[in-house]
Amino acid sequence: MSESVLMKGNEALAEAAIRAGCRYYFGYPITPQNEISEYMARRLGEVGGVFVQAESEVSAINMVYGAAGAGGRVMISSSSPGISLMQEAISYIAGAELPCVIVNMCRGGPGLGGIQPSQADYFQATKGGGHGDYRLIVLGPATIQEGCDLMATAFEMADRYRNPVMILGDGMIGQMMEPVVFPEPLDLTKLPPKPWATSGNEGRKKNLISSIYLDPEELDAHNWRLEEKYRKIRENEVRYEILHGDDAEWFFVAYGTVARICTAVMQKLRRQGIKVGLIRPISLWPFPDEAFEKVIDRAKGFLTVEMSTGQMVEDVRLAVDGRRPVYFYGRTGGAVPTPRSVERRLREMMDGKVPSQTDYFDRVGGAAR
Amino acid sequence: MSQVTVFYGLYGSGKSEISINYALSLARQGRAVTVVDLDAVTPYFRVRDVREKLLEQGVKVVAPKESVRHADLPVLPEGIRRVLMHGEGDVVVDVGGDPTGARVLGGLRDALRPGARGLFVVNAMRPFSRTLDQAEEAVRRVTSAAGLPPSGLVSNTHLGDLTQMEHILYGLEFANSLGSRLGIPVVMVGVPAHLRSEVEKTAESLQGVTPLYLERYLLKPWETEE
Repeated sequence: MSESVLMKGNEALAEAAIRAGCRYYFGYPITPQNEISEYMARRLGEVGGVFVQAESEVSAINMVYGAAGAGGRVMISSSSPGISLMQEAISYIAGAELPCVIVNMCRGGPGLGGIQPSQADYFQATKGGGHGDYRLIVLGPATIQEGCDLMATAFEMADRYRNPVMILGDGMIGQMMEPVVFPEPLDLTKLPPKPWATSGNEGRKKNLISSIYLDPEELDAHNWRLEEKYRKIRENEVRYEILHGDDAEWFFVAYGTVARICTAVMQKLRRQGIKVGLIRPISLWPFPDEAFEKVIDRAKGFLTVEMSTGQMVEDVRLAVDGRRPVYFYGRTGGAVPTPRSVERRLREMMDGKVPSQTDYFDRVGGAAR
Repeated sequence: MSQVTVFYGLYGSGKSEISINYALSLARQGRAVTVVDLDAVTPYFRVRDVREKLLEQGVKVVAPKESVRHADLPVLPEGIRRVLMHGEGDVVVDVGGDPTGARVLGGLRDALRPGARGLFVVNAMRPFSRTLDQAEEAVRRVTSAAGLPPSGLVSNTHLGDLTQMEHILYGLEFANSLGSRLGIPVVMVGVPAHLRSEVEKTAESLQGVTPLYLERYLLKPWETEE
């Protein structure tokens, strides 16, 4: 039989993490990502790893801090409110330059919100949910296979840049099932050494892991060194997909689940001869500005669709920089944009049905659409 | 003769789609059918999410009431014991996945009508049921948590949109071997609607096991026309 397995997104990310060398997982239950913890609890023991269900998200992320400092390949997962609780430690991990992978299967917020899918944690993920000048590398898979592939990339990038990497899914990515093919498990003995880790100092000088720099000059230098690292990441780690960039005049901009919806609408419209394309950011930070440069000369406008009241659209607007209209359509709180409503919004944009030039950026959404 | 049919199995083995399609197939034969959503562990893709579509086609749905449909709590439908014991016509019960989900039925065991049959749904392309040993352990753990010994297997091996005839046949062989180990028959084989004509052309390929043709009801957001 084929190598394919039918996996829920959550299960698939857990298996992919193990194959990418993850041996430490700490978590605390929250819907809609519990299958990650359940899978890890079941599988990590089989590969000699460690699973701990902590007493809270705060505790779990600080266990990640410790395991990462000791040089382990470590992952944590949660959903929106749980990720909010972790922000202090994520800032510490970034400040102390430690690698780890964080999965956020986003649900509707703010507050306790609901348990249905959402993309309203884009700001938190990409603009620094915690304090200080730091960045997370943020990856947004649109298929379960892509999630698996990105998991290996995430661990590799986390180690290479000594920085936390977030996989930002939404509940739908976590709960839906698709066939996947997993890569062969990584040979852990072939991973690059981590000479900075606090893994026993016999025969070498002590390593110290900390994010405290009381001297302003020192902290300023530290922050600019981090910024230099982030510059390299911006230069080298931009990921995106453009569909029909060679002839499209109107572009959807969407990631994750919503990109799947926009793709379906795009295919339908193209069958009717309408020249629509899609820009799908895969790295949400660094944001793929260059994707827009590739199509800007031909593009008549961009329609950003999100499960939020408009978050990524701000980055789209920065990338487009006023050269073309940028429109927005969103649903929130677990409501998912329907193909029909997305199509209607695109047609309005194509027909010029907007109040004025200054209203290109109207935030449109809600059930009335 | 009305019957209670319980579908249980591991997470993602296809219990809900099987329950929905089986209930509809009974309704199309003119039988009175109630489908019970007893899944207290899955937040998305549940029978209650397509309640209206089932009602339109004459299938009664017993599920947690609408006001708690999205509650992050293991809520049971009102009057569940009465339905299991005295429900009119055929009753199809969709149990939550894994022993965790099956435990809910375990708590209601005394309310099940005598003669209720437990059908274990198995997809050999899913994790934790890819080998016969794994699948056998899964049957034992789930059915003992449910407190209802299995009277048969439902072969539901598939790979979503990529499902081919070879997967169906491989799954059937897998289920037959599993059934021999457990001493129970394979009573049904799930077949995606797109493979229907292929199955009908080679009727003998299913070795006498009744096919249940599956229209998908629990759709991803981009698979709907709405």
